[in-house]
Amino acid sequence: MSAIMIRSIILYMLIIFAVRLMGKRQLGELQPSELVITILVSNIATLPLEDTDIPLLLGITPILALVCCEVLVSCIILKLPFLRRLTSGSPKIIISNGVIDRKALRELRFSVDDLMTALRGQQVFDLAEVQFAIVETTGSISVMKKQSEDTPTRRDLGISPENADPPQVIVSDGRILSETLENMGLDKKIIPDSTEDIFIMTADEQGNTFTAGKGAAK
Amino acid sequence: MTRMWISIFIILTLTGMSAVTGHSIDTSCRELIALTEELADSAKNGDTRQVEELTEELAAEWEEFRRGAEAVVRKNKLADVDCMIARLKRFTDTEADAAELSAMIKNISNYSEPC
Repeated sequence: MSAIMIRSIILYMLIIFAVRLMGKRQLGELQPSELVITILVSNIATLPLEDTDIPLLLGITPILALVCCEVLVSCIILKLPFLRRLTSGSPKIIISNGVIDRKALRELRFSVDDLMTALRGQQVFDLAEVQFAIVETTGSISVMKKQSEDTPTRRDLGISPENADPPQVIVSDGRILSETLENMGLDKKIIPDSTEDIFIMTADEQGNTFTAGKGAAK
Repeated sequence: MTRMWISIFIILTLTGMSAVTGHSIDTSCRELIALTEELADSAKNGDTRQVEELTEELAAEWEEFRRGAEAVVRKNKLADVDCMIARLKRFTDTEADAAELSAMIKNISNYSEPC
């Protein structure tokens, strides 16, 4: 029993290390090769847990080897575009100039329902609004709306742009984040003397603050 | 880039470890097989004293090998050979038939008979 417990902890730490080594990618954004590695790693990790006859080293070695190979291959394909196309494929245009490419949809085995679901995921509920759509190598869909349907920008409306960074948290759960204050070039004086009752306090570069108390937002 | 260097380091370490453990296990197995062949010859010649001595030596060598091999070889495979060695020791103690003893030694060197 204790052997399984120790094995579980070691494998847990190993998997976290492996995922961190592979880099920051969300599950839905995995490239085909990364998806294969993820499935393989999760399968291999269960083997030494289920069967204590298998030495832990026989579970650790393939996991590390697969993940390291994936990292190396992803570094190599940055330099070699043809290899990238080979391992990850290339994006496919499914709507161009407002016209659906049925051949591309068939190639991707995309049904009309799949297309509509993907468009709705991009906040597009009317096909007539779409100018251009492309299926990325990760399987996600990117959509460009027709200009007549698109949201106007500040430039379109003739409003002068305000180029300012978003407000940042300067007090979290009563604790002053001095480093953030310093980075933003703000004085500590903008924070009240007692921060015990403050849940969150944010500030922008102009010194405008917002405070949410532990009771209610002010 | 840091990830790439870590990966290269891990791959090289794993390759090195595989080569070292592979070579070490191969050498140990060859030594054990040589010992069982010697044991088989002694059994064929009917030299019971030599057989007893070699069986003791084989059991000791196997025990030492098994402790190291447990980290890289499936335990059930090691347990099979473990049982065969234990049976061999019992066999030589009871002065059994030489032909049967030879067959058992052959099985150990070939790893062909489950326990």
